[in-house]
Parts: sequence; structure tokens; C-alpha cells
Amino acid sequence: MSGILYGGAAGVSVRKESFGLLFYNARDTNLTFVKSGDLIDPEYLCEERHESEFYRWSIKENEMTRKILAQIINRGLILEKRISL
Amino acid sequence: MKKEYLYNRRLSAPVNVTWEITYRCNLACRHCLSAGTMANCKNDMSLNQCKEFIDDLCRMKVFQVNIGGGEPFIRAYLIDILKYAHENGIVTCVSTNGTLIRDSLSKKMAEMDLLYIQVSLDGAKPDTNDFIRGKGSYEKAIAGIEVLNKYNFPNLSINTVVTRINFKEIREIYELGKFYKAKTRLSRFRPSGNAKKAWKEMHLTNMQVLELSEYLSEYKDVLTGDSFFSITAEDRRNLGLNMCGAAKMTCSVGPDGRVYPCAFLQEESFYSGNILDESLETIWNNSSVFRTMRSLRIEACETCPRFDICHGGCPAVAFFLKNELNCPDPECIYQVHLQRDAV
Repeated sequence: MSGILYGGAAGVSVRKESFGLLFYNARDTNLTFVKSGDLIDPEYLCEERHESEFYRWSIKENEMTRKILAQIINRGLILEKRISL
Repeated sequence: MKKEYLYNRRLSAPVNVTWEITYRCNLACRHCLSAGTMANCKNDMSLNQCKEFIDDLCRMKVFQVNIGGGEPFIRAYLIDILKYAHENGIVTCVSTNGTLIRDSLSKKMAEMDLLYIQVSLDGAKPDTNDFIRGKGSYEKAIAGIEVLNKYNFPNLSINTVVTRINFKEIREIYELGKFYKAKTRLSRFRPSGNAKKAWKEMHLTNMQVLELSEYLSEYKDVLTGDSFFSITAEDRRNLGLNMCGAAKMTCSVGPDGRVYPCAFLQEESFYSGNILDESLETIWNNSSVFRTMRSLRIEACETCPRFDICHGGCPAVAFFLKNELNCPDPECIYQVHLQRDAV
């Protein structure tokens, strides 16, 4: 299987809130609020998962999910790993 | 997004909990916010009770516990409590007077990745600090800091409650922090506990409030946490809270399990429940005191140009000085500016 794996970054915890996701970074005790609604299940960010598991919505919602994941990766809260066979 | 969300709703659980883990202390600081509560508190929770509480916090997905007292290092089982919290993925930040930090303990603590330690120091000079915290406390606190340095403890900060007594030393305190590889954290002096008696003598003057705001803009790496959002300038708006976090982001638990919306409101009228009788989750979701705190609307502030940065300031200060929660922070910098310009 090729593509991208997403997984949690070391020292980062996440929980679900009504607006989306609340991240906490133990390395600096900072919080990050992510307005993702129900698009991303925080359980999916606790271990490595293939990108296809995140895109289970309509085209528009998948595009939003992609953008949100990119933002979260940018902040170092999750890791992205490219794989290919 | 954060401010708009918290102003209108609540989180599913606290982000952090202030946990006063013991009523005992080897000092008697003039501004101790816990002095009144400690006097009425007869028993610390047992180690098993502490562990059950940590289990509760873990279930709620609370991220961090700020452990204070009294003096946490007086507790024989402190390390066991810290280890248990860390095993459950909870970050701990211990607020200590630093006088009881020993060599063997520091060596263990230096290996704890999820531990932050905040040593209280209320002056860059012994006389200044000791006037507030007691004779000899400065030397002992510095000795505790040096032991932590010896073992390269990584997450160290020096915490200063800013008062009229030590205001002129805040730059030196910053330099002291640099010397000891510690961050500097400034806390607001609030008229709670012993500080009610000391308020008149120790609270900042209007001029000092303005200077402090400028200082915080200049020293952006100085931590302020839940303090000073009533005076911080626009350029610091994302460096700490911008509204009261009581019952929205945090709450406070006493040595005997009593719960309050925040550590500065440990008064009978704000008693919200006891974690020895019901879970913190139940209290967080159902306490009428918490509902009151969440629904506070300081209408007099809503048209203020600074409203987005402070949301009316600290209700605890308003309560103790004006006997009312629903009024603007008496030390609001906007008001200070207006008074200055009117002269």
C-alpha cells in the first residue's frame, strides 16, 4: 500500500470537543483548538493510520479534512509519513 | 476561535486542574492565597484517594495538574503521586517554595519528562524576598534551584507574585532566571487568602500597572498564564489566557477534596462539591457555582476596545474588592489609562 500515514507526535495529547479537536503539547504545555467538527476522530490520531481512513466523507468534507490535517501537521501536532511499496 | 468558544460554551473537562495537595507548609507567606483554606483543612487525602482522583482526571482526559499547597514537598508520597499521574499521561506542574528540594529527590525528578517545577521567589534580593516569604527563605529557595540545576532539571521556572514590594526588581528576577536556566513566570497579586490583609500595602500602583504592561510587551518570553490579561497589550494576546478560565478551562481541588471554580475563589460561597463524595466530572457538569461562573457577562466591558483581550478581567479580584463578580476588573489597564489622562 502506498500513500501517507498519519500518527500522533510525541508528547501530544488530543481529545474531542463539540467544536472539533483540542490538542495539548506536553513539551511546552500549549493548547491548540482545531475547528474540525466531527470530521476527525481523535482516536485515529493516537496511532499510525493510512490517509484513506480519514477520507470517508463527501468530496467537499474530504477536502476540508485534508486542509485541517495539513494545518495540524504544520503545527507539529501529528506526523505525516509517506510510504510506497 | 478559542475566545469565542469559551465565552459562549464550556469544554467537556478542564484543561488543567489546580490541586492543593496538602494543607501543611513550612513557610507563612504574607500573601498566601491558601492560608484561609489551610487553616480549616484538617486532613490531606490519603495516597489511595489521590490515585483515585488521578484515575478520575485520566477518564476525563484532563491534560495537566498544577500541584500546590501548602508546600507539596512536605507530602511523603509526592513522588508516588507524580509517578502515578505521569503513568496516566498527565503532565504535572509543581509549585513549590523550593526550600525542601533535596539532592536524591532532584536526581529522580530530572528523569521525569512530564514534570514541570515552579519555584516561588518574590525578590531578586534576599531582603525583598524574605520580607514577603520569611527570613531565610531566599537562601533556601536558591539552594533548591541549584540542586535542580545540578541534575539539569529541564522544565524549571521561577514564579514571582508581583507586588509593590518587589516591583523594582522584576528585571533582576528575569536575569536571575536566565542565570539558573529557568523561565520567569509572573503572577498577579490577588486579594485572596492572606493577601486580603496585605492588599493595601502590597498592591501595585496605577503607574506600576502601566509599567508592567510595557515590561510584558518587552519581555515576551516571560510567562503569565492566567494572570495579567486585564493589562497585557495587543502584542501579547496569544501568550496566555485572554479571559477568566474559572470553570471553563480549570478548577481547583483542596487537600480535603473540596472543589472551587479556581484557586483564588476558595471561599464558602464558591464551594462546588467534593471529589471524595462525587466525581469531578459530575461536579464539572452539574455544579450551580460553575454554571454561574460560565454565564458571567461583564456588560460594562463589552463595548471596550480591549474586550477581546480580557473579557472583563479577573472576577476574583472584582469580587474581593467590589463584592461583586459581574463588574469590571478594578485593575483594568483601560481604566488606569483613563484616570491618568484625566489628570
